[in-house]
Amino acid sequence: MSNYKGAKELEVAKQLMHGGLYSAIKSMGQILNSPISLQILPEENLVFKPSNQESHIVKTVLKGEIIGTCYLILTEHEVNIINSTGLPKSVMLDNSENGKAIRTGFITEIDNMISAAVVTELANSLNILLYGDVPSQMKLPNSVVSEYLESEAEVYDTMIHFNAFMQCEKLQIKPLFIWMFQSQLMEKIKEILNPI
Amino acid sequence: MKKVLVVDDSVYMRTLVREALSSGNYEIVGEAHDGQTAIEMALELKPDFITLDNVLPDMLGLEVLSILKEEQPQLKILMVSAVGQQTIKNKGSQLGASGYIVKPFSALQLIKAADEITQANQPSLSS
Repeated sequence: MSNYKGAKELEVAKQLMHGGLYSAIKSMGQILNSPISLQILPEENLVFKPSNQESHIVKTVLKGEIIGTCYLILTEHEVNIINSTGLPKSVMLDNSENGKAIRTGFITEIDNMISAAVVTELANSLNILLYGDVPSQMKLPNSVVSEYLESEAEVYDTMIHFNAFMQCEKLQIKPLFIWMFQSQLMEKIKEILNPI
Repeated sequence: MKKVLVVDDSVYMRTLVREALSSGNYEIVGEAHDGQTAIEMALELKPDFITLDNVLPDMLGLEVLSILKEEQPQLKILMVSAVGQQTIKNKGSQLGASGYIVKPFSALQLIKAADEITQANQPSLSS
């Protein structure tokens, strides 16, 4: 990110991401039938407070003309609240494999819809082809999430990232949404700002 | 009753689509979680229309659309996707998709989209 500090491309990238994230909270609010607010974080403020809980991480790899990944990070408690808000009671009480798959799939689908909102904003604004691959979900102890994200940033050769909390006061949840991009995002913006 | 094949990698979405369309007088004849299964089931079950997710584990919905429209040009396909970008909608339209609905949607919105697709090009009773 520091390579682009003060650059016009970074300001445009921030504006596009803000637009996408606002569409994302609208989609999330629609699914949970509750208003969601957005709290965008400066990158240096990304701190995971140690707790006994495990974190659920839903990861989506971007495909197309920009390479990147996004991560929706929720506590076990938040996953339970979201599931009990969005799914019928019969599904919550269903201990069969199908019931478990629906509950897991619900969180993954929320991630799919909110990440698609950001992808759509980027793709339409930059006139590129971009989509998120099928999301994957994992559980990690909260204490190792920062370490995991740092290793992901290295694996994906991340140039720039954006972090935001998606807060729902009504449901008392505050999942974290993280986006990492390689250099193509800034290059595409540069092309638009400086046409040949 | 119109016969429907539901294609989505998410069991949650398949359940949602199945329940919505079943309440709208559609018969769900099959569900597929990936592109290859979708193609095989579509050729075997010959549904009236398909709800097709665009991102599947083995291929894009657009590729499934292209293959199926070549095999069964009359087959109606409703693209169901979280991605609302114009380039993908245009590509779907070029390949012969009958409609496109962006997630999240309500049961009523899905039934309306399905009704529009299945009733299109049918002779009007009043004419």
